[in-house]
Amino acid sequence: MLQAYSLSILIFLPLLAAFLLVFMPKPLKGYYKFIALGVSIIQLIIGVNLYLDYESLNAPYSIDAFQFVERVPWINLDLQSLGKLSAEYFLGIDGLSVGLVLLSIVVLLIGVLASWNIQEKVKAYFSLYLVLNASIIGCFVALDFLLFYLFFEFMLLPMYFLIGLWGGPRREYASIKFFLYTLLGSIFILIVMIGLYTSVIDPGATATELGLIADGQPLTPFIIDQVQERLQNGEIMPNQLVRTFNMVFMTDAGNVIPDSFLSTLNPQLVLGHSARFIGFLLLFVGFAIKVPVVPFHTWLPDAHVEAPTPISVVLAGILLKIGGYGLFRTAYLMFPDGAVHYAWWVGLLGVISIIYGAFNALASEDLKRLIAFSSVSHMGFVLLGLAALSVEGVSGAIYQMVSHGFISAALFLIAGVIYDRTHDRLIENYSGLASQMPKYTVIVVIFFFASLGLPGFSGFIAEILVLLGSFGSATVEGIPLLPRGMAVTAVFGLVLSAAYYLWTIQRMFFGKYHVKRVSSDSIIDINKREFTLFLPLIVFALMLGIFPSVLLDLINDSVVSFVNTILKF
Amino acid sequence: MIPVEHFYYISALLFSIGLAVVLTRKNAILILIGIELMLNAANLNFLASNKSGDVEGQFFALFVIVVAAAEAAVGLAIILKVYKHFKTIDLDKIAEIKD
Amino acid sequence: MITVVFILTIPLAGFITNILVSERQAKLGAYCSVLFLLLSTLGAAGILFSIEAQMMISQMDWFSVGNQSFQVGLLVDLQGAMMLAVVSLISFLVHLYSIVYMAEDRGYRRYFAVLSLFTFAMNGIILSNNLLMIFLFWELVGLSSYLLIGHWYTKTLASKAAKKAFIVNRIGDAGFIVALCIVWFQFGSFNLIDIQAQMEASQIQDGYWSSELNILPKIWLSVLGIGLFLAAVGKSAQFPLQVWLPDAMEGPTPVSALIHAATMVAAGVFLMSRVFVLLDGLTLFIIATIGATTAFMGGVAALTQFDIKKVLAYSTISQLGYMLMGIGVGSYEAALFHLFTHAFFKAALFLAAGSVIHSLHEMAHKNHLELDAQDMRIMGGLKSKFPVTFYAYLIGSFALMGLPLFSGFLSKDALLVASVNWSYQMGEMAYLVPLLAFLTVLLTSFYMVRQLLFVFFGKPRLENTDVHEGGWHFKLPLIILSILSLGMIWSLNPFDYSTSWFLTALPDKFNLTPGFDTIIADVTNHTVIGLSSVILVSVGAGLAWLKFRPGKKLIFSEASKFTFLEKVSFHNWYLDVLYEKTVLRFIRVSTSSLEVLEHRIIDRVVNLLGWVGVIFSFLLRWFDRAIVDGLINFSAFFSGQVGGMTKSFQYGKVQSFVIFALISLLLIIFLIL
Repeated sequence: MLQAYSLSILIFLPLLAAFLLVFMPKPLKGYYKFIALGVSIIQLIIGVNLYLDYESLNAPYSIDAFQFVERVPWINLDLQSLGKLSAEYFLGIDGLSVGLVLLSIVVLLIGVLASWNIQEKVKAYFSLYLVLNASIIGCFVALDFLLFYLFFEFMLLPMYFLIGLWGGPRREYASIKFFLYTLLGSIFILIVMIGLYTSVIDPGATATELGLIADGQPLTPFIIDQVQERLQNGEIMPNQLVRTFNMVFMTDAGNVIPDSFLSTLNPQLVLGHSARFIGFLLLFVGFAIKVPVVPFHTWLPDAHVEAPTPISVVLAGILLKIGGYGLFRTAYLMFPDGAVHYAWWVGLLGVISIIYGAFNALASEDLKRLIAFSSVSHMGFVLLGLAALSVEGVSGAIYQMVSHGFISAALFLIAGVIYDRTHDRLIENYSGLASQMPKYTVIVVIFFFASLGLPGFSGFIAEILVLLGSFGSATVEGIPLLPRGMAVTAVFGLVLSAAYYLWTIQRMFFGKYHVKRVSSDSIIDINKREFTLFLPLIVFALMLGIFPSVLLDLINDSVVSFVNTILKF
Repeated sequence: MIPVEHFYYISALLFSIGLAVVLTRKNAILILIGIELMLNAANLNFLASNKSGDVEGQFFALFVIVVAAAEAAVGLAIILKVYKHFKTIDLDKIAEIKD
Repeated sequence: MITVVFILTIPLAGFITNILVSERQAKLGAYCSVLFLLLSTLGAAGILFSIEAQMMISQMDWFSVGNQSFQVGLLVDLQGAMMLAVVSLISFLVHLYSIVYMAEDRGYRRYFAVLSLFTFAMNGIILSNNLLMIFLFWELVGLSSYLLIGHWYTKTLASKAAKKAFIVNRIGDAGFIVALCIVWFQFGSFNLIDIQAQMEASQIQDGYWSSELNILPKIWLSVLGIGLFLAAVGKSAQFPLQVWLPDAMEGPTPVSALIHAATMVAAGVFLMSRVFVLLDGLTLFIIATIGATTAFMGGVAALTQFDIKKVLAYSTISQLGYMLMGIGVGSYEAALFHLFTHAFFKAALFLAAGSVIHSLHEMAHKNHLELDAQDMRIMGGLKSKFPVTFYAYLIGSFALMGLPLFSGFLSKDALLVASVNWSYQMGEMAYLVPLLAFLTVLLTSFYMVRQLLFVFFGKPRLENTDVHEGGWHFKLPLIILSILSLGMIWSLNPFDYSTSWFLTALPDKFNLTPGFDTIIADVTNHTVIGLSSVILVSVGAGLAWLKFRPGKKLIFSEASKFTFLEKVSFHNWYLDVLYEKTVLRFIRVSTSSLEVLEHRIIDRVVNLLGWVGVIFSFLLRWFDRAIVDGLINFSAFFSGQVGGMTKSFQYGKVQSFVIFALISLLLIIFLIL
């Protein structure tokens, strides 16, 4: 029974808990974190359930391809001559999102555990954290653009405060930069969302409006075809068009009104370019900021360096993936023509991100900054794999998002461990930590190697798939979308990543024990609590590296239909 | 037989006296008396206009007397209260609306 | 097949055991590893004797992407079984040797864990039936090499050497990944058997290389081969990536014997033999050239070293060059043959060197002496102190030099013959390859004789000669390895490689790459070649004898006082300096310039945009205050003034209200009337 509402529970449980927290009296201060933990544990149970019940469906990209669907009318307005507005409370997951939902649940749980020692403004902290939790999950499961956008925007608020109030010395600069930067991206998305809204109809509701089916009757593919045919022939009165924010309908070119702004047949021109290409670009930039893609990445190092450890973990582990997920779900699926047209540029930006991030990581003197740039580099693979539009590439991109979620979370925890002890993250101030902190060193070595793509860890599978996919990128009219040299260039990112990680290990952990400017007493090995934070991440990184089918079996069918949907266009 | 004009002259005189009292005196009771004078001037007018034989004027005069009595009673009561509050009934001194 | 899986995984059990045992039981863990390795060696021997040139294959699905599936699988053929036996045996001996060698070490458990992990990964490379799995284990081997070179991580040199080794290998791996991409694109499979079949079926026409699946420009076939070769260049320390191997000698000596002499570095050669079908003419030519060049460069660099391990390291580079040259000239079986013989005699040499180093180190430790236990300048006359070590070293050296009756002669002869045959075919510049190969023979005998004389002959140069040879842990591996370095073991007729049981058992060479159909013709002149190589060996040995003969006063000049040529040799052709000045500088410059780009340009542009926004909002604020607010304020001000004016009437004087009322009434009346 509750099964059917799993996704809603995932979203509203943390919101409810946040609400509860606000009204909890001060003497119960010590229990705030237990509420957050409890929420995460329940989410984990639901998540496991989702994983077990999720069945890969070999269906074309349509509403039927989603599972755990909840669809309730939300906003319905009759705008007379402008047609009807309908937004729905529409949740569901498919192969593109299931991995990310599970990733979010795990990383958020680890984030709560990493926040265990927060002392200041505990109530505010955990309430904001829970709100963040809800909006993140909401983002991954929402299938209505308005709802998605709502969650997407709502995420900024707790994030802004969590960085701005609990962050490091330059937190105000960082949080404002983060906020404004991503808000800018959101505006681009908003513009396209409105454009899409004006151009796309809901075939089901329109059919009801036309009297083809009675209210509440099931919608058959035949009727949809009928509606779409009439729409394309211009036989539907403007006031009978029911416009929609439904992301799945937006994907189907048949639902696009022929003479609308984003019409597929004769799109209007904006500044001499097809409005659809502009739409793709706006969505791309909007989400690329979040990913982040060079050159839209500069908020990331600052935000990461200043954010408190658990927030860095969530930021790197999940928030970046929302950018990637957005590209999949909106930019690529809704504007397949743009995706094909700009594939070369997208791939190029991916390669630039890989190389540029790696070089900057090599230059970083601050451990956290290094890890932040390595994130830029690794997220470049997501872009490259996506641009290739081959099954391997897209699978690799999704795999990379999940894998990087676990690994980068661990990397930021690693930076947090040393920062907690000394409040200093400069690499040059440490040397030979291996003799003083052997367990910590083992964990650092494990995750640095995991991140540089050592086989046996998840990153390897992701990167090799992306590289295979981008070398054999999809061909359109006999020409591959990406030049073969692109994959070859991207390979050098792997060499560089080995360079910056190993150089860091050599400088910080090997050699004679020696610290500068920090008290030597504070250098103590990790404790049990910290170790338990790393343990699940090691398990996931290894499991995804050794048994890739754990995840790939879930996403395979969706990826195939994703690629087919785009290339069919 | 006194011509009706004389009543009017007397009445105009009374009204003027009443008005002058109202306008010039500072004492609230005197102003009340001035108002009574003006009312009575009006009564006189009513009665004078009734000399031709009608009775409506007399009714009006009766009403006015009642109203005047009530007005005097209420007015005096207010003045008493004002006096208790301000210890004066000088209208210039109790002007508070200005601020 | 179950035996194969057992052999593959039992070293992993050693790894896990050593991770799990407690500090006090460290010795127990080590003995467990040794036992596991012994079992694995026996299993490998069993497979080797039962294989009979037929292949054993088994595979299962690993994961699938879309409708394509990736497999894991095992493949055992003769060369694999042979390699497996070699690796298992040497690994077993090295484990045994290490029990005493590392006895005093704090990282005992870590050492044995990683050593076992290495053996697992190496077995993985040998047994994998597809390129992806080979790559997977290839990287794992790199990891264990990294951890073992950096075993003494508190030594800055060791940690730097470990880092260098991994990064340089990673450059080679980049080539491997590119090759994987091409293979997957062209064949849709990583399976070695599939690849071979599809490669045979593929065609090269009009500059395009077409397989059943896809078409690529022909150049990609060369890129594929060169990519795979690059991987081998990294792992097998070939020019221009050989710089990591001498530095890797910072690791414990048994590790150098196992990983950096006998097995891991030879993995590149093994890989080349596995993917031999994919190498086209251009690639093979490049491989032959690079191999011969490396052989020569390594030989030259070994001439002037004073560190006992460095000499062996450069000689390893040189011998690996030979093997790859063998691949390049199309004689991969000769290359494999040399790989196996070399594995034994080089392991013997390293373990013998380790025996000397260990004893000297112990002596220095006991007497609180400050000395470099690897420096040959402090050795000399150790022959009597280390009898077993000496004979092992002698046999190993003779095998390395290629003296008849020793294993090295057979395999080197095979390589030289192949290279000469190849150069007949290719003509012109190709003669450079055998020329370099023959020169290297001379160099090899020179530096090995020099080393023998330095270490074991002459008068002891150490005043305190209270050194002893180690116990059976040391001697047993040395004896076994020396025996395996004898020529009789490998061929009934120790003067003719063609009677070698290994070469005769190998199946016929499979088809070469399309477009490269020159089957090497046999020019049977190997008597001449054998004789000339023996002559060259004697010349080299004689020169070394003349220069360093016992009784002659040896003057060791400082490295800074070398002549130019000696300096070039001593500093390994200044490759490190060259890379420092070019590649590393390039990386540093691009790193710092990109950082500048990041901070000065991108960040500033963003901040500038922020500033523009702020300035714009300041302007807007002014506009807001002055104009928009001004209008509002003016109307408020105006009404205020009006209000103030009218307010003056409302001062609460009832009488004045009455006057106004009266006046107004009168005015109204006046106006009406």
